[in-house]
Amino acid sequence: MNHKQKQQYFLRLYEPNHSKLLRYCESILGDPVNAQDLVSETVLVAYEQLDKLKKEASFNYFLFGIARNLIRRLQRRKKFWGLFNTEQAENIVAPTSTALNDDVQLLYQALDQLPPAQKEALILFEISGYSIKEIAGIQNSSISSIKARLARGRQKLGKILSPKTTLAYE
Amino acid sequence: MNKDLNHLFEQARKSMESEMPLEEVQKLIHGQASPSLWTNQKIWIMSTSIIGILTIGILCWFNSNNTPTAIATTETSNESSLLVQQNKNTIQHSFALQEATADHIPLPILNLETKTPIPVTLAALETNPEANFIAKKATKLDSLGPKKNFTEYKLEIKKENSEQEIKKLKSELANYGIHMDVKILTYDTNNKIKRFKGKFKTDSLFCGSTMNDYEFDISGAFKSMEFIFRVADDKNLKYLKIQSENFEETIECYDDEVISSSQEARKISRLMQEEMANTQREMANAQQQMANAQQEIAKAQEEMALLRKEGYTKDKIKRFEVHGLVNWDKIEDDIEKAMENIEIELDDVNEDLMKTLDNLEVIILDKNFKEDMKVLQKDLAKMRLDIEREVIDQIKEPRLKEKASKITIHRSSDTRERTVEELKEEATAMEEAAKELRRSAKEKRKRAKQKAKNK
Repeated sequence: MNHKQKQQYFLRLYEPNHSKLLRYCESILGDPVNAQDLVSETVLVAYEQLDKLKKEASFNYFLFGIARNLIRRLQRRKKFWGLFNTEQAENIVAPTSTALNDDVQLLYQALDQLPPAQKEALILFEISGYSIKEIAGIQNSSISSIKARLARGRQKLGKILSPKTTLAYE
Repeated sequence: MNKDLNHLFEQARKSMESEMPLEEVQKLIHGQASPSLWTNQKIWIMSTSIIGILTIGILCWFNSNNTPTAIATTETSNESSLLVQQNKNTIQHSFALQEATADHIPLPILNLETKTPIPVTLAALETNPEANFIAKKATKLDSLGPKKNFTEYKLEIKKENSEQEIKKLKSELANYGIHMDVKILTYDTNNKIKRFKGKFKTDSLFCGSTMNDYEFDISGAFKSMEFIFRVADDKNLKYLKIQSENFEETIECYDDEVISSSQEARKISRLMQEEMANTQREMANAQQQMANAQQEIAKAQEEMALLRKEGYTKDKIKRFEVHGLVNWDKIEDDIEKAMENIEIELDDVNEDLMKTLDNLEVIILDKNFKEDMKVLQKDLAKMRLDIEREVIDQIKEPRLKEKASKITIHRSSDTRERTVEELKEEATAMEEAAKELRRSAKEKRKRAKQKAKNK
């Protein structure tokens, strides 16, 4: 395969998954800038390792697998990163938040309280828009377990958000 | 609830839609350069190395299938030397080389352990060969670790003659600085020991310290009892085991303690060696000075003999005086130096000094040396008297009476006064030396006591 051909081939496979990946990354990290960095890194890694892809149909699993690994690596590193700097913290300007953003932020906060598998399943299903079958492929588990995760995740999320959501909509 | 959640998720989806356009990703991918030269090089290196390995493998395989290459023999036209020509007729030995075939038999594992105990004859064995006293040189021991040499002694006491055996054991242990005190507490009807109590004491070090009052109490009947004690090369007890059917007591030095004690012992021995070396050096110096003094005396004696032989002349007196062939000061200095460097026996010192030096232990380094010094002093005194007499005799001659009398009178009076004074000086010097010795001995004793306490 030619270099240009490879690029075209990759982009063809990637385009339908772009928004899903972006949503997934943003909702997992809760920060749009970091999410964009993660997406670009995922894309680069996926492009480099494209030769390892055996089936076109499993590209999304391949892509999300890379993204998941990168997220894990990022989270592992986060534990050991730097000391808290009060000066820097004071200089950070809070983003102008609308009521909509507040609600989304609340959602993310609630999602963070869920177990990682449930959180991931919910994000992939609700925000990224993947089907249960696809999520089962990404998470490497059965459809029934994904269904159970989604149900339990929703229940927990409802419990967490019940007083806050009502306040937000009032 | 579900509606609220769905709404929230929808909001989240909407908020993200225009964050990162796809064009950015496209740019990112298009910006990717073709595989770098390094990756190409890597592929080349990998491929060439694989090819190389393969070719070597094939060559080896090919060679193994072929017949082995014969050893090429080339005749060189060496000019035969004279020695070779002479030995031309000697038979040349030819060796037929055979093809070696692998037998696949594993090589034997050599066991270099030598388990031959070195028997050590002990006093008990000489007196009574029936005693089961075995001594062997062991090279390995449980906690003492490898490479530590020690001698192991075993004694088995049987109930029939336990009293005698214990006596033997006591005497044998005493030879190695271990004192055992065993009391038989009870007897049974057949006069067999049922219970006894013992105590151990050592002069030598055990685990870096003296084993004072180590007690053992064995009760109950026993058929036989075994005492095992291991003594290291430095004659220090390292291991002691008492065992019978119903009793077992083991005390032993562990590695760390051995190491620490050995380190301490090494330090002490080093200090001792240094001190010994110093004293030896001092002795050597003193002996050298004594030899010098003896040489001086010999010279003086020679001069005396010459004087007696040739008769007294004015010139000879002058030569005698001016050139200082007999240098009294030098002789006396040498003797004094020699005396300073040795320790004195109290018997040699006068009574007054003895009184002051009561309750003192002065070490005599060399008795012979002391005696030599006494002889030397006597010789010196005799010589002085001889010389004085000689000089006086010569002065009595009428020709040189006037001039010589001046010299001799002065000389004789000087020497007499000097001898008295010098003897006094010597006595005081000896007194001072003795005091110093006393002080140093006290200090040494104090240090030794402190060391013992610290231990």
